[in-house]
Amino acid sequence: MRYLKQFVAISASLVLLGQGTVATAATVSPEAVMRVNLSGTIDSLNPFTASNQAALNVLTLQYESLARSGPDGTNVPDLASDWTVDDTVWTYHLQPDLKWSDGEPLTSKDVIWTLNEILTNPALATQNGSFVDSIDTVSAPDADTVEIVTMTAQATNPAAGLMIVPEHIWSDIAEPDTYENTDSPVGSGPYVLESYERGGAAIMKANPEFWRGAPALDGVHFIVYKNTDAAIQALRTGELDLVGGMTTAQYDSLEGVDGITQNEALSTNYSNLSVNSGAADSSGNPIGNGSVTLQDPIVRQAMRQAIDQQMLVDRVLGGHGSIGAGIIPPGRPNWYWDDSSVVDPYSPDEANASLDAAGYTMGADGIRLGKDGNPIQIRMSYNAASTANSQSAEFLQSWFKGIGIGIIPQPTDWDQMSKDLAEGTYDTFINGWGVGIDPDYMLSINLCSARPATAGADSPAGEKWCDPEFDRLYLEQHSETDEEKRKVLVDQAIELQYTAAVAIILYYPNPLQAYRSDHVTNLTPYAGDIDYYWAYADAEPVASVDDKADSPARLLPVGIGGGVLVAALAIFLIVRRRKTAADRE
Amino acid sequence: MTTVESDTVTQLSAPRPPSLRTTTRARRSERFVDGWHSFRQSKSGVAGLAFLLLVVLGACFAPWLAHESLLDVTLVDNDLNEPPSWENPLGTDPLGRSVLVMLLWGSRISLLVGVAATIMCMFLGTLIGILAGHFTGWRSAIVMRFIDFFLVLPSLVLAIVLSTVLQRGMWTIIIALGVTSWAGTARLVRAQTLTIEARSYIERSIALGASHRHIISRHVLPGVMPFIMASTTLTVGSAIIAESTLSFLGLGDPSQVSWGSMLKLSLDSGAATAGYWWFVLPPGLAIVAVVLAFTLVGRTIETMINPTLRAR
Repeated sequence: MRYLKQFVAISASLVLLGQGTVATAATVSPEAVMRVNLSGTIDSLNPFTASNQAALNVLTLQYESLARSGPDGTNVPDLASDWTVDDTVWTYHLQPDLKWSDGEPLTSKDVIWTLNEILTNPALATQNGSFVDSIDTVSAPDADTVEIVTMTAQATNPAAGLMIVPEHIWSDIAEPDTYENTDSPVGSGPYVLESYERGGAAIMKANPEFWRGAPALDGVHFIVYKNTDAAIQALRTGELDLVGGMTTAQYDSLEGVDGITQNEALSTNYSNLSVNSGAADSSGNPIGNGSVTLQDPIVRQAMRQAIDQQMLVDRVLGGHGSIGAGIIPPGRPNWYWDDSSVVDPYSPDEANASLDAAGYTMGADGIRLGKDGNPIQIRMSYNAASTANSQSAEFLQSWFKGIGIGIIPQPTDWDQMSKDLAEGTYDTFINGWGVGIDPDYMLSINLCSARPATAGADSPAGEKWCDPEFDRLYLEQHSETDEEKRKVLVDQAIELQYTAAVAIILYYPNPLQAYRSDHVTNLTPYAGDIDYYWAYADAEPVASVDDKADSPARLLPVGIGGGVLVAALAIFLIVRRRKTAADRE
Repeated sequence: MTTVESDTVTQLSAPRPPSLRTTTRARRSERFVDGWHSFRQSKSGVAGLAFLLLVVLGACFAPWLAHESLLDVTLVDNDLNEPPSWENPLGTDPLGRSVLVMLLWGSRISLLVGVAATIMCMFLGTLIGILAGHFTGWRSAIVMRFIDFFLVLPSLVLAIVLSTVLQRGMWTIIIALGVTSWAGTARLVRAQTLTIEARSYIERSIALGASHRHIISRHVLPGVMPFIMASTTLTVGSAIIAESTLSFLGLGDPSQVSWGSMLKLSLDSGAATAGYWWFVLPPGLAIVAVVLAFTLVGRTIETMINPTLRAR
């Protein structure tokens, strides 16, 4: 009977595919809330240590910063109403009469306490390392003023996006770095957490003390769905109001559905093939076991030329994305780099020619021989849970084989990959980065000093590549306050990294989102993205809430599918029953 | 002269009875023909067998029916998620490959893994089961506890763990399935061994001084063989399902198309939500049909060796 149980298990998962048939009637909530599909899991709700996007989406709603990146990408007032810069001295003036959600006044003392904690307690600095590195002193001349002195003059606002916590709560906590912060926390943002269960929904209620005025909604509920298919069914039936992170097929299926508005934004992410070009620790000692062949830039550049980016965009992203060369995606237009005089166009023939010229002779089986005389076999890891990554891997494998480079695919998961990355025990892997509004951070993770201190140590470095010239350009742009001059320096740094071909861009995927425009409105996009702080904070309920469930006709084929499978299962069970009749008697 | 002489010799020894080997062979072929006759009585068994033959032929000749390059995502130029048409009778998948071609190539992995894992499971199960039934006392107790240990392990979970720790690939799945599913067979074989060994001709053999090896290979193994046959055909079905389950969970060989990996891709790409039924249904139905066919054949063989089941 053991196999029967397995059969039931897989049949159940098959039938699950057709779960759209069970469309429950939408419940009209008595209070006006926006229900958002929480994509990903929350790692922690402690503002000092939380790192993943799901957690930050919740936390940025709860804690304001001195300044934050506004909908158009420039820094806008938050807790600070304005600020002035005088060489290295940044002076912030707080908004008048700020209050925490529990009614206590919010003053410069809270700001200084938070900043000092980050500066003095290394356990709290995990997510704000670059802040710690660039700050000399912080002080509060009076209750409404904060002064931050940086080590050198810098272009980026040192306090932008840095979440401020209430001193009267946090100063009593013995170990703030391990504090869970889920028991009715006190915040300053438009919404504060009401309840949260680990791995489950995060329910946030409106904060009437919010400095821009109490928000229009009574709350924002971040709800966890096991998969996006289920979330989309919930969106169709009106149980969810906002869903992001869709696949092409899912996004396209929502076209023309009543009450649902789709949103496709310019990409602020890139997907890339990260190449181990000779990983080393921060003092330059080689670590890991990367392929020697990949240390030759000619091989890396040839691999890049063999990739038909447009085909990836068309086939893997269904056209919902764009191609490009640099580590700044088109959704960050101020810093986007695409210099056609430098970028090598797609050409497998040229790639083959340059490998021939470099002395990598073709072996009998169509795989080139490395300098050591053995066929070149490159390991390629990717996150098997990501559809786009798994699909991209199939294309890359075929293209690389076309230029005589053998690939050993290694589907894995993020945990294993982070470990391999830190230890340098990989050849190539498919990675991706979300890029912030300012290029400083993206550049800083490519500095020589960003490499891990020892093999296996935590490090933000994506490629563990090191070039002193790049470091020089980084420092120069970091302290350049003239935007135009800074752009030139940033461009040069990106070009240098492009030439090294250590982070080969595959494509820039557009975020695909949709929301119930018959429930909520005024979702302010942040660089096109509506699954973010500005959309949550500004959202308003639509006056007349009208739930429209999806028409059954659309779900018919799926329903038939489920039905056929159930019937097949029934036949199987009957046959089994007859077979075991003798045993039962 | 020599020929005549030899003829004479042959004539002289002519009345010798046929050798033991010839008799056995004749008896076996007679039994096979008998078996085939009684198998043919069952319409469902014949239908299952015919369907399986068709699938096996398709799997064997897949490279000639549809060239491998049709699976290379960089070479196909169909539209993505195309509905069924004359050109692509089952439509295309989210990368533009023909679903029919994928189904054909997927049958190779599903059948190969299913059969290979079953052979491994049967080998282990028979060996350990006979040992447990043949020996008595503390030796039997040790083997039985060993079987019980594997019997209570949740096989799917163990298979998932194994295929995660070992390097990914087809052989890993075969080993993971084989190692985790033999315990049931072992108990079945043990029970059968005990029945056979209670018969008096075994007692006579022992009295005549037969070794363990002689008793097991000459008397017990031929006696349990029909049960193993029936059990095998039924186990293949469950092994195919287990293989699909593992591939569906993303633990299969990434470079090969299998029915389970097709289902995984259809789920991951949101084909069900988008209503692309031509990519959701075929792999699921293929699994159901092949497993059903194996069950029908297995059940027919079972009725052959256990006539009490026939009337039902």
